Amino acid sequence: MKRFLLSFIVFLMALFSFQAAKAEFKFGLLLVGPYNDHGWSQAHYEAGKELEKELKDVKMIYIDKVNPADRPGITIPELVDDLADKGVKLIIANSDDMKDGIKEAAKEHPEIYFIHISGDDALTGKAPKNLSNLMGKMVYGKMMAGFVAGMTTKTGKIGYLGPLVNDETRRLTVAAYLGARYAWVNVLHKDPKKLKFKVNWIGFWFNIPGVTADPTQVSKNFFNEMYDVIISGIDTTEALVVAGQMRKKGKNVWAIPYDYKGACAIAPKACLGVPYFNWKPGYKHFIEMAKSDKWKQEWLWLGPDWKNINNSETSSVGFVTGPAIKPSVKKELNKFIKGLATGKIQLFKGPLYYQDGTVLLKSNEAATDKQIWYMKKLLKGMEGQSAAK
Amino acid sequence: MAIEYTTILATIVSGAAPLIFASLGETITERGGIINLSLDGTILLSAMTGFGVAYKTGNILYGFIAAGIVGMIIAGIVAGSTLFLRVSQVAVGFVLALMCKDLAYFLGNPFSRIQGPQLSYMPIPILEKIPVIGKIFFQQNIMVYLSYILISATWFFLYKTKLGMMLRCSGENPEVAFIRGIPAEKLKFLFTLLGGFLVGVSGALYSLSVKPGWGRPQGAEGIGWIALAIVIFGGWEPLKVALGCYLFSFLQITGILLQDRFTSVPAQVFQVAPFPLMIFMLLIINFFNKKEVQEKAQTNRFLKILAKIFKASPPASLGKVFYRG
Amino acid sequence: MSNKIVTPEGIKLQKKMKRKERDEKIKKFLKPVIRTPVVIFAVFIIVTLLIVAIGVNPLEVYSLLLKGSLGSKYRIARVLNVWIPLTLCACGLLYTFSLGLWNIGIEGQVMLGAIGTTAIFKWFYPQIPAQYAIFAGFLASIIAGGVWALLAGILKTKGGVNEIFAGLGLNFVAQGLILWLIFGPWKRPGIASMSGTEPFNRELWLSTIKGFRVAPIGLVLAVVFFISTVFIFKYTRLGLFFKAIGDNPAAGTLFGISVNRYSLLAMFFAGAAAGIAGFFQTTGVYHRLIPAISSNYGYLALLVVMLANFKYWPVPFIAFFFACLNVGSIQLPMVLKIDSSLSGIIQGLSVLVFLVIYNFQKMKERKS
Repeated sequence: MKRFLLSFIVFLMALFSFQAAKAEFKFGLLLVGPYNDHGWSQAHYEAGKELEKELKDVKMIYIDKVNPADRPGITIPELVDDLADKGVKLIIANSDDMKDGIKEAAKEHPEIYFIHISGDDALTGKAPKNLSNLMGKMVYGKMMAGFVAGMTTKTGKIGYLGPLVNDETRRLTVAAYLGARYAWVNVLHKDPKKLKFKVNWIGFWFNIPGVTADPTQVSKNFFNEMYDVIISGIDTTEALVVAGQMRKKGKNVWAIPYDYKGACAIAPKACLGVPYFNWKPGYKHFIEMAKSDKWKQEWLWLGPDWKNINNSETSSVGFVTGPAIKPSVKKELNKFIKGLATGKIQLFKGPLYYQDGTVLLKSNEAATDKQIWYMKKLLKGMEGQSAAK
Repeated sequence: MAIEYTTILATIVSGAAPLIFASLGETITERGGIINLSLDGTILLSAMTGFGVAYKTGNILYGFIAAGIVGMIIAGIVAGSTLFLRVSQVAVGFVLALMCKDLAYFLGNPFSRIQGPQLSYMPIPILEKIPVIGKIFFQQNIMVYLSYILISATWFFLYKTKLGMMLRCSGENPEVAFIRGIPAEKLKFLFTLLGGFLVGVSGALYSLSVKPGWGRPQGAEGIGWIALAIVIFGGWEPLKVALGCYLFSFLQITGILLQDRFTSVPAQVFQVAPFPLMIFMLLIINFFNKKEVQEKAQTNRFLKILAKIFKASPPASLGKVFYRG
Repeated sequence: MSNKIVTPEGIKLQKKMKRKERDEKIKKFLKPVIRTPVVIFAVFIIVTLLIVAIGVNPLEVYSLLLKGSLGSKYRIARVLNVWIPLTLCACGLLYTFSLGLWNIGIEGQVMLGAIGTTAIFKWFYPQIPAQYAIFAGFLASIIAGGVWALLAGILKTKGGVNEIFAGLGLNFVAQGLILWLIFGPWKRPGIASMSGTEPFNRELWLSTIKGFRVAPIGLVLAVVFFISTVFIFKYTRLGLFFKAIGDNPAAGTLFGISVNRYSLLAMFFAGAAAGIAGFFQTTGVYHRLIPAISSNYGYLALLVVMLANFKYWPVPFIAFFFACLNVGSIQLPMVLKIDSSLSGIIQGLSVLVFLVIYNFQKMKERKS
């Protein structure tokens, strides 16, 4: 009897373990920066972690610092090969920098599904069928960041710590500028000519010593030049760190970090708030599609849930205010968000001119998604490089 | 454009502080005739240790001391293996430069990107009120003030004390030092340790003040090589070396300021400047050390002035070790 | 013909000499035989302690490193992709080290090789067919790398600038040059990014065997370069001169060999080898020019040659071992969440322990 019971238990266990092994769905996540960067990569990592908890039998294998400076000699297709060896069914590549590598890998591994974050290959038709794109409509987050900066600045000088220059980063700096200008002109009723908005690009998504410009130095430089609010567009938190240091010296300066909901914790006293990505809804959508083998190639650009932009289940982009924001500004911000939600406030609306004076949008013309996505130049009124010269 | 020039100058002064610690440390080491190539690794490993210890103990001072000790240990490995085992100091230094960096990343993983203590801002009472100068020099943190003291102390030590003279002699000409009864090997070893300590302190200065925190990359990568270049650029003379540090700090900032003007040249290209300058300096030093040139300089006034400016005497035995018996 | 007078004492003496010679030969052979296991054992102990210290099971680490580098054909392919440039650089360094020159500038020479290749692709493709462009790129990499090395060589021979400082300085200048090219003349249209140039047309990629991401041409290049290096050192006058000057520069002058000329030649060879490595990195691995194109292989090759005690025969094996570490270590953060830099620690530590033990042996010998 005892022996029978034992063998029965063993049999059951074997059955379960067999089933568990069969049902486990593994997905890979390639992070361009450190998983704990308090920015872009951490937002991705935490979305993956949460889904691992929430969805049953889903396991994440991540590898961070996937860039040639941190991992010399390793290419994206090689990493994908390795993940394929580990039995991964879906791979998420979280950087614009991986665009060519992931396309290459997707062609070689038709048995695996791929998501390239922030890219457009599924839109332009250059991608194979197993490669989709996902991005959040951060333009709204950046408008809010710009709005808060415009309401807060005393010197009328806002600095934008930019990463590298491409369609995406131009789109986001332009959105931030439009938000700031709205606050300056429409809410504060000040002279638009007195608002300075300058972009300084460091050359990559984060600091690579000796390769990019040093974001710490660039931030210090902004503050030295009387800019008193920095909006960060890079993956890491240098701008906020420097603002925190400057405040300790008695300077009245602020920063707005980017990407990650918890970023303000680095230097709360200098933090006005953070526009962040919530990758959970997008990831969930694709993982469930891949799991049930009902894959459809998509190019997804997910926006905020206007009912509650900070709803972690439904809203793909959000904005949380930081401890340094003034209550009056917070009030105005809420009005601004409401305006955006109802469509009363439309910032990508003509007349808008490019930096060189050419027309982006004619009077009363609203921009299409495509026009916003492929932002070709910075706008008139902004200082900084539009592209490499 | 409304730029606060004094603030920019203050940023240059504070940005140069860690470089001053590292390159003056290396100057002392090289003056004794030993070349410690490991700076790049040393700075990172001590930066990690400094941050880690300060984080665990909650005391910044302990962080600096621990970082200094790490620098000292690494310097001790370089000096010890060269002086006692006759291993090539270039080889050991180079291997350590690579390995200590990896060691720092490996051991520093638990401290990666967490909030930790930072050196606090500490204006000097009275002095900070001096117009312009006060703002540039006396509204900084304590390590910046120490960097001023270090410059003059190093100069005083090397040129005005007997010990300093003995150290220089050991570096210039170990044979003579031996004959005169100077304990050259002991001096070299001790002052390599001291130099290593200063380099270690500079590492902690990065992780506790300039780029607070630890991570991969920390942001201080490559600084060690720059410090090495500046030592040569400064002709192994403390005052000129310090000047070189300020020049580099200045270049870093102007690189960013110039981004608006010269958009096709990325700011970081300016940071390469110390290296060609170093090569150029070595060329000039060698040129003026040539006999023909020195003879010509006796008659040619122009050449004489130039020779005076560029006179630098590299420690003759640098990198070579004199072994008794 | 000379007259020989044979005496019994003479024969005895000769025999004694022969015996002594044989003993010395055995000793010479035995030294590395004893040394190698000691080095391996010491490194193993230290690394194990280090891993235990951070609270990870060392066995797990070692098995991951092994499986991660040789566990599948994908991984072996990756090891070979590291092995090729590493072996090329290390072979090049054999020439300079044989003259006692520290060619630390090899890292920059790899970069220049990559720049040379990219320049040809940018300027002449698609005007000339891809095969020709690749071949021209190959030649350009040799010239660019070689000339960059010559620059350090000339600074040394003509300007009296130590080759270590010259090389180090030129490395950073080369890096600056790449940054400027990527941000300036060779930028991607509408983009300003440090991530790299536009990827090359597929025609310009070195072709690989399907499912095995290694270009056979790269393997051939590395093997051929290694064999010819061995051949030059062993069987040619040139190799003889290199060795003669390296042993005693004064003797070189005595025989009427210009030390400077041979120094420059050695520098050029090293630069050319590094240039080829750069060619392989651009056309065979990254398919574009990126700031980190040299992947630190130049510096790593210096470690390889030091660990090989400046002899040629261990070079390909040590390079293979180092390549395995580089590739296998990526598993550490993926599976154990520890930093992959352990590979660099093992590499550096091996050299350090080797240097200490080697010199210790030598010192004991001197004393006896």
